[in-house]
Amino acid sequence: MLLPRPNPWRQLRAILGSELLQLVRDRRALFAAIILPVLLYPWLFKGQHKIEEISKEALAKREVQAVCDLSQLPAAWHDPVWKALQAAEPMEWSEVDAQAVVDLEHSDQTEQERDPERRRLYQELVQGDQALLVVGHVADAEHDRPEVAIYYDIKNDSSREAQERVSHQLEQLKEASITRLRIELLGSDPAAFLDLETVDVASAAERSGAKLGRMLPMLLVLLLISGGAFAALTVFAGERESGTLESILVQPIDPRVLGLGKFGAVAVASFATLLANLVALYVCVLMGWTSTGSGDMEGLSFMTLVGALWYLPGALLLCGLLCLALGRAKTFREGQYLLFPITLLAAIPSAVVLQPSLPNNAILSAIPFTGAALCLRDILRGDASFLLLGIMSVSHLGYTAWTVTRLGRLLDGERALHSGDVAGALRKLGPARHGMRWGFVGVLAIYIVGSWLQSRDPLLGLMQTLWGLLPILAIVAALRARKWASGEKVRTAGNFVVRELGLGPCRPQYLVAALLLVPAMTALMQQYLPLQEKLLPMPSFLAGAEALTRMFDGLSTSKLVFVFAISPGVCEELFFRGAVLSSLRRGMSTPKALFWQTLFFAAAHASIHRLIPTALVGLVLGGMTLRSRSIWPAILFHAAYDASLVLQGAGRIAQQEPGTWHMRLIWLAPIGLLLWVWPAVRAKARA
Amino acid sequence: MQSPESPTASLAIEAQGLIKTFHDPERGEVRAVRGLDLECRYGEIFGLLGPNGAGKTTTLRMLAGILVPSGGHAHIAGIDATADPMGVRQRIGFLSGSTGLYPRLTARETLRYFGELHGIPKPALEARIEELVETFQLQEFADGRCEGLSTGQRQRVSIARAVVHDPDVLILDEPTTGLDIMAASDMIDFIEARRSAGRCVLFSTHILSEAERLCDRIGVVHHGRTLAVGTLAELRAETGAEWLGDVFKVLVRRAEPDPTPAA
Amino acid sequence: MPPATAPPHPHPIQPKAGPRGILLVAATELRSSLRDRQTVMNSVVLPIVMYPVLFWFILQGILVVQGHKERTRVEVALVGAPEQVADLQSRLLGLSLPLDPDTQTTTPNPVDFRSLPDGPQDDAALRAWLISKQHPEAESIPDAILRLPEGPNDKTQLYLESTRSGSELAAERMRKRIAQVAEQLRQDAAKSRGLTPQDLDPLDIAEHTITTSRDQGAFVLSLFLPMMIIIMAVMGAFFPAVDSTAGEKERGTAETTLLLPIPRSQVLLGKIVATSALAFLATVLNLTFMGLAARHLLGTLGPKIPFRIEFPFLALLYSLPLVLLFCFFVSAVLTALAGLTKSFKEGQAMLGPAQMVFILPAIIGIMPGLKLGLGWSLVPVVNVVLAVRSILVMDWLPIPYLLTGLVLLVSAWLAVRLCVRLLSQEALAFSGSSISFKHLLRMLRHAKS
Repeated sequence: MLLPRPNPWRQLRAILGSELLQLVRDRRALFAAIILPVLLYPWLFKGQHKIEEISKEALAKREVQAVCDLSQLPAAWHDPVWKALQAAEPMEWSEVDAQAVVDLEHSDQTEQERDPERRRLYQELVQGDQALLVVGHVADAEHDRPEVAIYYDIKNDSSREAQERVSHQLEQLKEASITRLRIELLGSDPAAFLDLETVDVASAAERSGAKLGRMLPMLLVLLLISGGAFAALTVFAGERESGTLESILVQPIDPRVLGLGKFGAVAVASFATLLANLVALYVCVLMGWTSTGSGDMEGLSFMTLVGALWYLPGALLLCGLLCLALGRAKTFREGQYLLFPITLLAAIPSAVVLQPSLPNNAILSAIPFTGAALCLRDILRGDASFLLLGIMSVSHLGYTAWTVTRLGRLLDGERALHSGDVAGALRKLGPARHGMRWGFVGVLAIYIVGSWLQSRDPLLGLMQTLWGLLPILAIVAALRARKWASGEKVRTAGNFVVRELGLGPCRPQYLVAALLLVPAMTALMQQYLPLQEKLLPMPSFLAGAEALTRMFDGLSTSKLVFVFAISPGVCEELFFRGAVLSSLRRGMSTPKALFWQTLFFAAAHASIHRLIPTALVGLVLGGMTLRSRSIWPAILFHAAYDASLVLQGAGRIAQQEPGTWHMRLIWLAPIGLLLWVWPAVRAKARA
Repeated sequence: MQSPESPTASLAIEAQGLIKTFHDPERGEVRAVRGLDLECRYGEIFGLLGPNGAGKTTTLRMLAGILVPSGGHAHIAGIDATADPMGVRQRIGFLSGSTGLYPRLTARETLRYFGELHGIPKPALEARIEELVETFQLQEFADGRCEGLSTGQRQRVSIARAVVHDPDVLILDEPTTGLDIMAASDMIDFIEARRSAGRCVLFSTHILSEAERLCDRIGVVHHGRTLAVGTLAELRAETGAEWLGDVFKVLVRRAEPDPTPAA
Repeated sequence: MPPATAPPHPHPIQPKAGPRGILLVAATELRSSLRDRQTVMNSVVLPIVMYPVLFWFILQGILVVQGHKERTRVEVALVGAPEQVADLQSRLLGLSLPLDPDTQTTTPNPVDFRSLPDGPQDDAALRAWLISKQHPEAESIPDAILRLPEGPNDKTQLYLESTRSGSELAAERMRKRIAQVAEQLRQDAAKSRGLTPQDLDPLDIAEHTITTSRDQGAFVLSLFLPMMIIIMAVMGAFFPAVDSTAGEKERGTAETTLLLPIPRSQVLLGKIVATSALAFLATVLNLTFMGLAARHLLGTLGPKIPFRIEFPFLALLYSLPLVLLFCFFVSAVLTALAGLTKSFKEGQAMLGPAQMVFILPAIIGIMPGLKLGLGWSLVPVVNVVLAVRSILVMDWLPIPYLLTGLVLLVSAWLAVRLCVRLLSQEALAFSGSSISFKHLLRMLRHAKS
């Protein structure tokens, strides 16, 4: 029997149907993954609120014993304050003599010196179950200014509660007297008309939607992972576990069709989860379970919840990621381990909805999961723009399409049968794995150890990180790389390290060429940074960076250059272009090795605002190193570039008008580029 | 597209100089198959005989178009396995001893699923399923989930699954591993039935008695190479040994005079 | 003639019964777990790598969000009598808000003002304008509207749509600015009458906490650390529990284990001990690295937080016995449950909801106002949370502490007994199929009788 080529659409239908049938028949897993989470809704709305309420009530009812000494207050204030204390119920007051406390507050000691004294006196005066001390006295004798001081113990629940009650009452007293004084002294309050009265024009339904929008996007991620992961595990790991993978791979079917079919099954399961959750939510609204306290969801309309189905692109992307990750897992167990990282990957970008006043925009709505979460939030509160929904849908569907194409590759026989485990991707890289591992270790070390050192002393810490941590890491990594270089000619360990770190001799023309490119790089950054500021604005508390400026000011120019230009130039190059890039190059294609070292270099700078600038520099540096087979040009370029930035930042180079020095020297760049290209051209010509 | 009847495709399976190299993190480069030659005809049972790790499974997977050979070429029913793996997969049935079944599908659903993947037209497919149920006596359990079947029953469903599209070439990877006596003998009957139907069966095994009983020709594989190919009689004549086990030992010794294999 | 009895063994072997047997099983289980790459990845490498990466992403996310929020321009319309509007607008513009010296546009939190003296200004019209129906006089819709009062006793109204981000931002910024203007007005009035601002503010209220910054740090820790310990221990026990029971059945080594010359109860106890050791390890590693990463995050975000979080060495030392007991208790329960299943997948489906049984009481335990008294110390899980909480703030009594330990021990013992009873049944020990709940109940009844 010889058949025509099978129709891919029919195959797709067959795969989808068969996978779904198997999913539905797995009743127990279906229950645990999809039904059970849905049943949690009533608890979420009612239970949690109830517990909080009980806890709050218990605290509010607790009778607290407290001591006070109001004898030093001016006569006019004694009675009002005492009344305020009485109003802070339920409390039981007893009087003590707190002259020592008053004396302490009037002494010349600094706040730091007073603190231990206060602690001692509090322990003396407040006995047994008593948990608060209130002392009234005249703080400023000249103006006869009364002060009521409250002493409490923050780690004692009763004391904290009593302090809140008393403060509240005293603040009210103060408010009342301020209002009275304004009328007495000024005739009337000149700013009375500015007591703002808020008029919220949003409807009740929209407000309920906004409340829901603060939590539903994150909740949905968790629930969709629960539902989608169960499906993805069954569809991928289940196939391996039941031993049917080989059978399916020898069928005349394109791996892409297979991947799409399986993804489809996961997507359907995920859609069912989405639907089930929205229905459960609506039932909760209908039954009035949501109409308590903070969870008030009054007036939430059915159509709003239908609109929430627009989250689908986000859900699909989540499915794609789940398939991609769990498709590599050989067993259920292995897949299960991967769930936690995926959950974080999706839940953290969704956490942006905790900031309700962040407006959605075109950039945010294209960020995976962040965009979907913001769009869902806006739909729920009736404030969605079709343009942003469109951007979100197109971008998320695009990401999903990418995952699905990758999925096809995953189901290719070569991969599926020989490197199907989690570490497969890393393993195949062979010796490059060494470079990856050390790159990662380096980034982590700079991040944890480096920042710890710098938190103790910025300058010394920086020096320790650069001259201590990085060279040690570079040398250890280079030594450990020796076993991967068994085929290469190396004599001693020292020789090997020198060669591995790229410290060998270098053609002088490359050094010159590196220097010639510096002005162009500086100019490029000056063009780029304003653009980045528009797309990725820096918050004001970072933009100032006062600490850094203060550090600059305390240093002479030569020291400045050494600390911020030469040191990073030498040490960072040793590690990133030396140890890491050499290792990576051994097991990867050149573009891949360049990409990874760039990523590590950029990640080591630990700031999203410096990510692209450092990546650009890292790319150029990596290219130079690969070209010249030595890190000397990279060191020179790095140091010169940093020096230009630092000196300009510290005001040591006069910041002139548009025609700054780097713009005037930019014509050097073509010459530099020519010097980089020339040897290759000549070699080709000779050949 | 060439049909098996065309003169160029008179050989069911033809492989020359097959090579497969893997990268393994612990062992480095692994040369699983290092230049293997093979020829199988229609109406013939060909046995691939060798110890575990000889490269049998890898060879069969390359022939089935799941793995791409690192070198050499293979033709199945006249079709190049590297150039058109899909065409190869359409013409072969593949079954290995470790093959499982979808636990939550019934036997009939399994057959229908694989039939649809092969693109068998709907009415023909239903007829074919009934035919297979009849042939392999699946009637009693054809509508129960596969997870509840016994080993022998599963084996029968698996076989039916592998021939749902009635392939000209059947590739079996250690088909009797883990089967009890009854199930194994069912399998052997099935293999013989395929030969009588004029199909080609290529199967790998490390069980000598099975090879002795079934195979028209035997290829002895060791360390990824074919040491010898021929009928049992030819092999005996060549090596001068009577039992297949001894034949195998002689061949290995001839190929590797040094008893310690190179690391 | 065959000998009537077996010949005496040259070296008589004593089966390793008692604690040695338990430890032997536990050590073997531990060794095999720690040699398993996935287990090591999950319980050792993941915590070390994940938290710094995770916190880095959170920090950068906060910065991006903050930057976007600060640079979002909002528009506020001022309506009211023309001269009044003009006066307020000039005061608002004159506020000394932090300005960027170079470019007016990059000032954080910018507000554009627009006055609209003509056109309808009644409530309905303003509402309609804001809810995106066009205003007859204006082309665009503002983010918020400030409506100045008409009569002397009226108040200024701030119209906003709380469900719109821009509107929320505008309202937030306007409240701050208006408060500043009000303060200015009052100060000006006071100055014109020769009064100081203090004269209008007659009373000082000072609040002093007598807690050291270190104790404050301990208090902050006590708000979440106890719950984290519970969650980490439960999650840490999850995989080892499934692995040593259902996983063993899946791998086909269950039979070998049961053939050991050691009573089944001890084999089980050994497994529980190994599981609790792994759970404890996971807890320690997770909390340590989470702490390190959080320290780094806090250091970057706020240099001036009032409390100082120090490693609460002593408190953790005191808590250690309870935490260990709790790990043992959790491991016993989870192992017993996982033992009822036959595959990793089923075990995982079973334990997922079971985890909640531990985590929900832990959430209750961190509610403020609860205190470890004799009553609470009888409730497992909640008592651990409360005990660790009170130890962290160094406010604990020995009797509830000991009672907590005792309760944990008893409940762990009960869980082990249950575990032994259930799992020593042949049906389960070798089970080829998983059992239904009905069957389980029947078995339990049978075991008790």
